[in-house]
Amino acid sequence: MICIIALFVFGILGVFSAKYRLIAKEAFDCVFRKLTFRRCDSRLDSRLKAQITGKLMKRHQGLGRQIYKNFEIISWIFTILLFVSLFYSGQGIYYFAKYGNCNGPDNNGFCIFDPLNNFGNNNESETLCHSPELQSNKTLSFSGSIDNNPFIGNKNASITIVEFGCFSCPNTKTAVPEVKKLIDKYNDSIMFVYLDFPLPNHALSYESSLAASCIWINNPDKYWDYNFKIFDNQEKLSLNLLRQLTINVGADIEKFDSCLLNNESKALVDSDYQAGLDSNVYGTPTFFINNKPYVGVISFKKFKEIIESEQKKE
Amino acid sequence: MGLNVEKIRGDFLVLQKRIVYFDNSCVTLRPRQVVEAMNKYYYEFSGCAGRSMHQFGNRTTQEVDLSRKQLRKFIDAKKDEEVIFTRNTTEGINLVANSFNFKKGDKVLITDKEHNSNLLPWQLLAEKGTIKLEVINSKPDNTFSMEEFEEKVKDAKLVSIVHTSNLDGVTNPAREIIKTARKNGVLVMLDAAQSAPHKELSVRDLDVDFLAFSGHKMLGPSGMGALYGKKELLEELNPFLVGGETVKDTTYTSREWENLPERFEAGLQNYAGIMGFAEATRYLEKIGLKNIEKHEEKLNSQLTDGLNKYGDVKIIGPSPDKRGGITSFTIGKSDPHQIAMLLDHSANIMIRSGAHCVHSWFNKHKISGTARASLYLYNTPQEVDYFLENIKKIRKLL
Repeated sequence: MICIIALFVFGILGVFSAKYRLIAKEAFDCVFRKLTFRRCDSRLDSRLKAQITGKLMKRHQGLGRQIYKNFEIISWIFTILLFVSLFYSGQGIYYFAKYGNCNGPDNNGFCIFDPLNNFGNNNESETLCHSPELQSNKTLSFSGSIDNNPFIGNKNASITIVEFGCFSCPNTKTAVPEVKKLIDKYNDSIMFVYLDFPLPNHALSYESSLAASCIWINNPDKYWDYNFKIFDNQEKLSLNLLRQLTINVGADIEKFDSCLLNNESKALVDSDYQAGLDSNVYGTPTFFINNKPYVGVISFKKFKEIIESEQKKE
Repeated sequence: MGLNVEKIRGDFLVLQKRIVYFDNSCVTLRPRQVVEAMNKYYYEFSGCAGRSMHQFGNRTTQEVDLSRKQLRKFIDAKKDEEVIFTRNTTEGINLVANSFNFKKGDKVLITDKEHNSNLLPWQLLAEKGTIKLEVINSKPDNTFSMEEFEEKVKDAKLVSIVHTSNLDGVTNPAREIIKTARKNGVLVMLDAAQSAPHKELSVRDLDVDFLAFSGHKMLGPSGMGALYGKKELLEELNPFLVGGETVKDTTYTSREWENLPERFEAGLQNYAGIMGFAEATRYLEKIGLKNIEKHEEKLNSQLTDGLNKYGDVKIIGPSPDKRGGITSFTIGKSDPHQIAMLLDHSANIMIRSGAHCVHSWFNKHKISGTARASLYLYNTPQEVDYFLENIKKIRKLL
């Protein structure tokens, strides 16, 4: 049994040192032979047994003796603990990947993969696309109308989340998976609204906003698909691609072309941008959750905390 | 005059590590003097011997010659050219086995306690049909059976036997064996790997034909050994390993062999090792091999008495006075490797465990292996007491 533990321990240590890699190899051979009901030739098991108990005997003879006599049972216990801990570690990694929290969707406890909760506490300077022309020293306060804007979720929900985003901003793109998780989880209890804030220093940002708004005007049911696809293709955006994406999502291409040609969506995009300026937004993504501002990318975990906190207020 | 063990221990820097080293039959520790002799070659004149005519070459040639003289003196051989440098005892035995002009069906005798080095070369020759191999069985107390030997030696060509067994420390009666062999016109080779480091040897006095021994078991460097052979016999051997320095001249179809001993020393030699080996023998001579032998027997007697107190400890072989500095033992049915590993990890005592390369004997006796404590000049009675104290502790575990 000790060989199984040795395989994992020395396998990990072997990543850093060739010395341990050799022991890991021996441990693998030992485990394989034992699984095939053969004797472990390398005697790694008895070597480890003697080494561990020998070192213990130097400090406490009685303890060393007990460990030696019960070595197989103790090895079994540690092996079971190893597998239990491997299971929970795997589960934690899965939860972390899926929910941004290694404790699962409904738990905000300590997560070893994110010990400082950095993933949830957005670092503004690192997760915000900023335009140098915009001032960041004013208090953020949402000011504007969302009546005509693309939204998803429950229109009558008590929690409204407004995002000011820019299609060419990498940080707005980073926020997309978190937003998707948010929408999946809280579809019934929130209304999520997207407002265009095409940053002046970002190429094709304004054009993308115009295109997306055309979709919203003509085919609102295709909007979110189109919105996410723009972000998916952010690195290779072009006017042709915006048109192609329209076809891809199944929106009416003629109406789309006509909308762009006649500047039908310009008023909506400009109005969004103005609303952003009025709200003192200076970068993307910026969220207002029930009018409270959050600048930069927000993890799903953080979204969850905020929503639960809002729900408690009700 | 006894040994000044404390002074001797001062020469072995590794002993400052607070370890007890009882694995001397495998390899001994090396004194400062040996390491310095080797370093001197590397630092001061690391040239080629017998080839280059420059100052480093000349100095190396001179030091190698002096080393050979020292080895010759150590085993009391008649001529320098009777000492051939090898890598170890194994190579020495292989050299004789593969160079000797055997006639098909010649009989070679070995004992049942041979190290694989003195079994396999003959076993392979027997399988090829070159020789007929016969084994002399030991007596029940694991000592040499002169009766069986006298019977089997009559029609033999060569006797190749271990002088002192690494299995149990028993020294075979070489003088009588050689005398009996002589009467029957049989040649004798001794595997002296375990005797040369611990006993005064005189190849002339023994009248032995071939004798092989290793440097690493007698304070010398690893990878160095020597083969002694009577000049007239060496002259008759076919070259085994051939190449650089084994010939005086060559054409594309012929060669003129070099004189002894270079004929058997193919390729560039381990010069530092040769010098270290010679220095090790000088060191042993200075201490006195009789003193060393006496010291080991005394320690082994203390060790044996201590082990005999435990009913479950079984010592292989006869009384300690016949086992030199070696004690091979088992504790009940415990795995000997566990005994060795526990002593190492719990008390920094190093001993050997397993079949000690004498698998054939263990298979014959259906024993999986033994733990083996082997002593040398730097070991002390205090170390033996410490060893016994820890055997007592680990017996409770096993």
